[in-house]
Amino acid sequence: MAKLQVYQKEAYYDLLSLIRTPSFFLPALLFPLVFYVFFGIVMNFSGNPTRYMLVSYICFGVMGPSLFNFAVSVASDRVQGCLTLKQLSPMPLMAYVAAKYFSSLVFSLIIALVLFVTAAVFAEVRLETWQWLSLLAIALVGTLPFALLGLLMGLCFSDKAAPAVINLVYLPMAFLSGLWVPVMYLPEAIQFIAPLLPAYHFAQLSYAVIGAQQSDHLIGHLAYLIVFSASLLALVSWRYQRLYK
Amino acid sequence: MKKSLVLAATIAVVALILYVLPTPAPQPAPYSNSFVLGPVHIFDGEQVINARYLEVKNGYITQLHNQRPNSELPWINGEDKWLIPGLIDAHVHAWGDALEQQLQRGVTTVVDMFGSPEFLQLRQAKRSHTLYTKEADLYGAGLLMTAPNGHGTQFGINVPAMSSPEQASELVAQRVSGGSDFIKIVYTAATASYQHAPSITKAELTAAIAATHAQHKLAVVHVHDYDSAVDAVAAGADGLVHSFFDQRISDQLLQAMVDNQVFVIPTMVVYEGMLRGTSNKQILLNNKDLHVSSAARATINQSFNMNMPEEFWDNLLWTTAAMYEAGIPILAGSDAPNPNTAHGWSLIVEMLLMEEVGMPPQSILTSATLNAAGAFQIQQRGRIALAHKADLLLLNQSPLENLNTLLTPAQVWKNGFAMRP
Repeated sequence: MAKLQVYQKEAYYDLLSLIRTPSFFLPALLFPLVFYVFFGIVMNFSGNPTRYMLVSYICFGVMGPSLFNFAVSVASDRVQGCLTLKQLSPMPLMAYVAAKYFSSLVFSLIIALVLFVTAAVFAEVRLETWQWLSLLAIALVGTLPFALLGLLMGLCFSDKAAPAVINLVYLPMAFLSGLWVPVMYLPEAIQFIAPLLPAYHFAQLSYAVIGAQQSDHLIGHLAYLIVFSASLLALVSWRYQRLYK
Repeated sequence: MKKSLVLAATIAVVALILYVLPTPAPQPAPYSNSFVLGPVHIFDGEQVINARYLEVKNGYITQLHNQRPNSELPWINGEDKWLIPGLIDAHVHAWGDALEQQLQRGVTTVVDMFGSPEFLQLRQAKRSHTLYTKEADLYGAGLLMTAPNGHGTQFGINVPAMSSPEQASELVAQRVSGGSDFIKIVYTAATASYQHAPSITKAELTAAIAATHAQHKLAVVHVHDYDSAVDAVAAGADGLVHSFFDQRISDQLLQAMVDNQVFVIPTMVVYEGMLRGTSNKQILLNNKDLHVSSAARATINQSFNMNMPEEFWDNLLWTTAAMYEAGIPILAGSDAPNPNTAHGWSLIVEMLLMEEVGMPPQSILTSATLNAAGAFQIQQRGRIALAHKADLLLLNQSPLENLNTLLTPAQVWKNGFAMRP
């Protein structure tokens, strides 16, 4: 019982600390919305239907908070010694990680809902209820691999380097995975990179909800994400051991 | 206490938002692709037939009657309107929601002349059943055959190109295993005088067509000028997917096409944009009763920006008339969504341009139904007959008297399901 309370408290305070930093959470929420309105609605020259653009920008939008939230805050906690402090406390380290994941889920939830409402109101997107729910579920659960990636980077890089490295990973990964331009329209020489990236598989699962997936073998995408997450978890453990044990 | 209230409130808000998000118009009940429709006048794809009532079960036409049959199936009052087969656009390029746009205008099947094989493969299974769908059925060439840096390579899709006749078999086999229903080949004769992308040679064209036939598929050729058409027909093409206007067709070419049973898809509507450019305004844009979507307007208002002699348009009309008189099968195809065209709308404009050619309305309707199904060996479509799909178009007036009635159909059925407007 007490342990559960610890998890809850840590989650609550992590979220509170983010809410008290409007200079962080406002841009974090507005950036995907602005991107979607500009490139998914107003300046949609791609000829792709509006629901396809919505799914692309939801995937893009929810990857961000999970990457940044973990990488930047873990890096700064580590460098400034807060992480060591937390380890000295009775709080299990998993509570720390779970709390951060909870906060990033809250952000992803808000982003997804804001994009849903914007798409429904301004882009005339109409989906069955099971489709709205599935997109939301995939958007939330699918942030796990990116959260782990962020965590790994937070443990490896300094607090100054982390944001730069995240951007270097986040934006090219989104582009190469076909979130801005579908993979088949990318230059042929770089198309092979897409299936190597978690963002590609995450996006394909989301596209499957609206019938826009590129292949029928969805289980492959799921398998990739599971293996990717497991490998990252192993790497995170190893790095953590190296740092503190 | 306060925290759990906040949590409960949050969950309630999220649930409310999800509940309120709009859903598409409700799907029809499963039994409603079985019904009796009548009384209607029926043009079956070739001619007006005697029957007045149509019985549809699970999306297939099961019986035709002269009087209203005694049946438990729901009865749809045809109000003496005109029923024709769902239209077939014999030349499109489909991606995104193209197939939905086509179906909304009453085009229930399309033939794609260059598109993503994956897009085609994902839709091939549904051609053989009559489950509810909002998309027209798709038949397609998949990737076209062209020269390195030739026409078709400029769109960013990777197309394995043809550099020698020996490659023909392998290139055709690749496309067939990728799901292509037929093979489309791009060719421009070496003697063509206008600026054009690199083309395969005549020898490569002949090899490609031979390889296609050896693998039991139809070979259609994209040409834009008279000389190329002559070569394509001589090389054994089954059909030309464009007509030409640089000169009028000769008797020799007419005879060759008749002898080899070559069909043609004139795609006059896309040429009209290059050569004249008044039809869309006249037929679609100035007509306040039509709801032409902004997506359609965007492609309709695009232009190739070419300055061509006026006589070219007269050549095209003359050639199409000559082909029709000679008995060459003319198929209606729009080449949507190229400049001056939009999915669905442009097939109807194409049919109205055939009126300008002088083709009788009956033949025009056949060009957009039976001829396309026959040429591409599309089963169970293009005709109102027993065991055919209930892909139907109900018109307020007789299309034989006023073809413009196609612009404002009364009802569209796909797989026996009535489409919502």
